[in-house]
Amino acid sequence: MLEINHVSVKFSADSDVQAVEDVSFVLPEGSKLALVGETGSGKSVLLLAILRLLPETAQTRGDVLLDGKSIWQMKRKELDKIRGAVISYVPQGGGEALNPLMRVGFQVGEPLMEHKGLSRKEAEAKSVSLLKRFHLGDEEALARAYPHTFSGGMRQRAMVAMGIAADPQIVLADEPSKGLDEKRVALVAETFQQLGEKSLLCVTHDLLFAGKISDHICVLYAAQQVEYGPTEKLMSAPLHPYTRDMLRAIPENGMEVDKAGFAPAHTGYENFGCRYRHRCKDCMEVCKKMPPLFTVGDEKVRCWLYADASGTADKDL
Amino acid sequence: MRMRLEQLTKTYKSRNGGGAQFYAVQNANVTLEAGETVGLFGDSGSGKSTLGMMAAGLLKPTSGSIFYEDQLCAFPYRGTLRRNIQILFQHPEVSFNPALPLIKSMTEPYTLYNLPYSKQILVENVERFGLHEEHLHRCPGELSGGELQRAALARLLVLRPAVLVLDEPTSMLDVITQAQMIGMLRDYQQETGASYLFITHNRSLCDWVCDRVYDVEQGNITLEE
Repeated sequence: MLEINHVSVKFSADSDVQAVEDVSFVLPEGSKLALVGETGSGKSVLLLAILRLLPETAQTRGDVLLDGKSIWQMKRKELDKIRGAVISYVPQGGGEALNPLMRVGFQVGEPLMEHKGLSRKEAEAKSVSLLKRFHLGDEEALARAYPHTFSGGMRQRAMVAMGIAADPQIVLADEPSKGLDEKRVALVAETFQQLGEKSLLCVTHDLLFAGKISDHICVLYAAQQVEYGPTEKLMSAPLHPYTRDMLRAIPENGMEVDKAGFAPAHTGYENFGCRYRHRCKDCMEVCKKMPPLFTVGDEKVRCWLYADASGTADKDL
Repeated sequence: MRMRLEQLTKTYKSRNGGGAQFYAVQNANVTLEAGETVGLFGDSGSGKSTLGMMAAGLLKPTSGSIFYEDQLCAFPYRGTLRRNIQILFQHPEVSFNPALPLIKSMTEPYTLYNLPYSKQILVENVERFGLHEEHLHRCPGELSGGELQRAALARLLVLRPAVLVLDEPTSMLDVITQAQMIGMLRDYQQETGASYLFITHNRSLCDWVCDRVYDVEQGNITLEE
């Protein structure tokens, strides 16, 4: 089980850039959670923060617990044992993360050599069967090929194969469907549906993709968590105005959108109250104050519209 | 007619196939009227981007010809032709020099074409695309994909192009930014009567945006009924 407790990430450049602000959620064993938000909402940074993969200019607060043990307090040696073996990270981009000078089979099998003590030969043999799980076609030849001969969709699937090579409990995936065409997106979605007992935390900007692979969705906007709930409920009856606007903006739903609305600049958050209020159709006087995360049934939403409907507001906020 | 592609072909020699020719695009005929949005729809690898690159004058066709306002276009495009036909790429990162702060890249069209320029004009321009002055002092690596793509569009429209090749301009963006970009493009089209060649692999977006659609499959282009 992975617990994200009040995590904040700030980049200090000339002016402080708040990338993630006080995000909390729990990823129980075997559950699939999608982190949805627009570009710049902080979802990728949050994913990197979990395994401490952020650059040194990042300042973090809060804590990340793996089965009750803090990942952020771990010594380097302990951390190395977890990365790839217990929690694996599948990076963004159609495979730029693969080493162009090494054969795909070696790279896919590398976590097995690192964590399971397999020899290079054994690992490479195993990597063929890993690739087979993702239906790439002629896997023996592909394992001997170099990454540049792969298409973006193939590289994406090879990276997922690498991610699950050492049989981790938790897979963190960053934008696995970005830039792929519809057929390839369907293949990647299928790949994730085969993860079975493993937990998945997937960052995506594609709501329809999120709907296919997750049981819960967490929506981020301007570094904050604005809605959290079961996938089906969130897709059919979204609570937060931002989630509603997102669903309306999908081409299938008519691409209805307010042309003038944009997220505030990263450095100007403190003057904003509710960060969505400048784009929100339901904006009220009270929205000049930052709303807390209200609990409505099994969902959480950061919007004053639900102040009466909710039993309790999160008192830490 | 704004633009016409006639029997456009691009071939590559495959290196280990004993010099066998590989057709990326084969005998493509595409027409583009003023104020029209024409879609090129196909999977990745089908040749639609190659066709777009040739239309934008960035890639020399193996054979065939391109006409702009019934004038034959010579490769490479120069002068007003270069200015009138612009391209917006799928990956906004490639549109900017990664080592320069955004403001340096954004001033390029003004200096290249001797347009009246002041910092205020620049800031006003980017603000219409939802960017702030603060963004201009960052380097491309410090901006999100959506912000960069809007900056790329802002820079490009300074030149008031008559033809825009849009190579999957929104496939890296979230749905709201995508809908906003489409809205911005539609406003510009209504204002100036510009023509768009819209390359996409998203069926619903394609149907929503385009007046006519060409299907691209393994280098072959056919007009959809």
